[in-house]
Amino acid sequence: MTLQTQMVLRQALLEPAREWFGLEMVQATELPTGTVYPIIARLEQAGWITSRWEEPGEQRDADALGRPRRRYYLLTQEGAENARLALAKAHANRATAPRPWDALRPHAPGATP
Amino acid sequence: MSHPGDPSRPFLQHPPRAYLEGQDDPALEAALADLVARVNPAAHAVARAAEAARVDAGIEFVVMALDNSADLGWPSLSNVAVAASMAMQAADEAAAAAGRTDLADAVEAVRHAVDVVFTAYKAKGRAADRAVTTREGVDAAVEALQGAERILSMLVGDQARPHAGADAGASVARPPGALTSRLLGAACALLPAKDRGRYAEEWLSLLTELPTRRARAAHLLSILCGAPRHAWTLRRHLKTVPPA
Repeated sequence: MTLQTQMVLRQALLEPAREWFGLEMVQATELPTGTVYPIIARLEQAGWITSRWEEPGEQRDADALGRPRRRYYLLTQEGAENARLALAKAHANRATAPRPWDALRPHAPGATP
Repeated sequence: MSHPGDPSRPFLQHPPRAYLEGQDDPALEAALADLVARVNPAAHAVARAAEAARVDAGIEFVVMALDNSADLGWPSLSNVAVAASMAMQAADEAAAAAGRTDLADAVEAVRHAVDVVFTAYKAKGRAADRAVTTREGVDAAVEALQGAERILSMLVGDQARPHAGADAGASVARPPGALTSRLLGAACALLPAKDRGRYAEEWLSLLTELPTRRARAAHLLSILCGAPRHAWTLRRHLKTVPPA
């Protein structure tokens, strides 16, 4: 799982029951739009998130008039569980992975690197 | 209970017979239940969108017929045919009302869905085969209805824009310019045909919400750069991971 996917999932997991839209995720993660949308598409294909169009009534209540409707996304229950597991696994992998720059550090004579 | 009726208009004349044929088969029963669960809400959504867009496509009568047939226990493939033809009519009306040639593709897609539905309706064979065609018909009808709803919602957006300017002090979304729309169209052209409409609208919404031209340009550039990867993502099938 890429770091960008992890960022999107971590952001979505902050409030798993709240719906969000693409621009919101782009601004929250500070990732480029062209990076976030393929990730969203992949998560939707996997069934981790669902999406729906904004209802006309919701749009009328919004302060921006004449705006095209948004596409709202929501983490599914299964998706939230999978995301938590995937993030935990990614974190564990990162914690146990050998860091190549450790070998470059100077060591005291006699100390094991 | 059933009657010969007019063979040229089976979806209007034969609800009892269409309901009774193969009804005892569990696969067909499940497919018909799926029909009621998916087609009727989609038809209601189209009716709401048409009302909001002030497009008179005779939708409310067809929605009423769908509801009545569901209440009477007549969910059948004929309903799908009605729903799909309704969607085609709505899309045609919407395209004509909008006076926009770029809606012709959407109407054509809806028309194709109607053909699929009628072919499914005319198919004869075992109940299991008809259950499969029913499900295909439901998919086609739902897709058609969603297409019509999308077109009608676009109309609502188009109609709202001139009025929005009249509200002083309100934050009015600025529609992107012609160049932005064309570049967005180029990005969408890379995507699979079934996803183009969705992302065109979604990205247009995203760009409309941005406050400055600079921000719009930056996001548009990012969308253009990401479009090939997005297209690849949408076309690539997910790998099946065996359970641990």
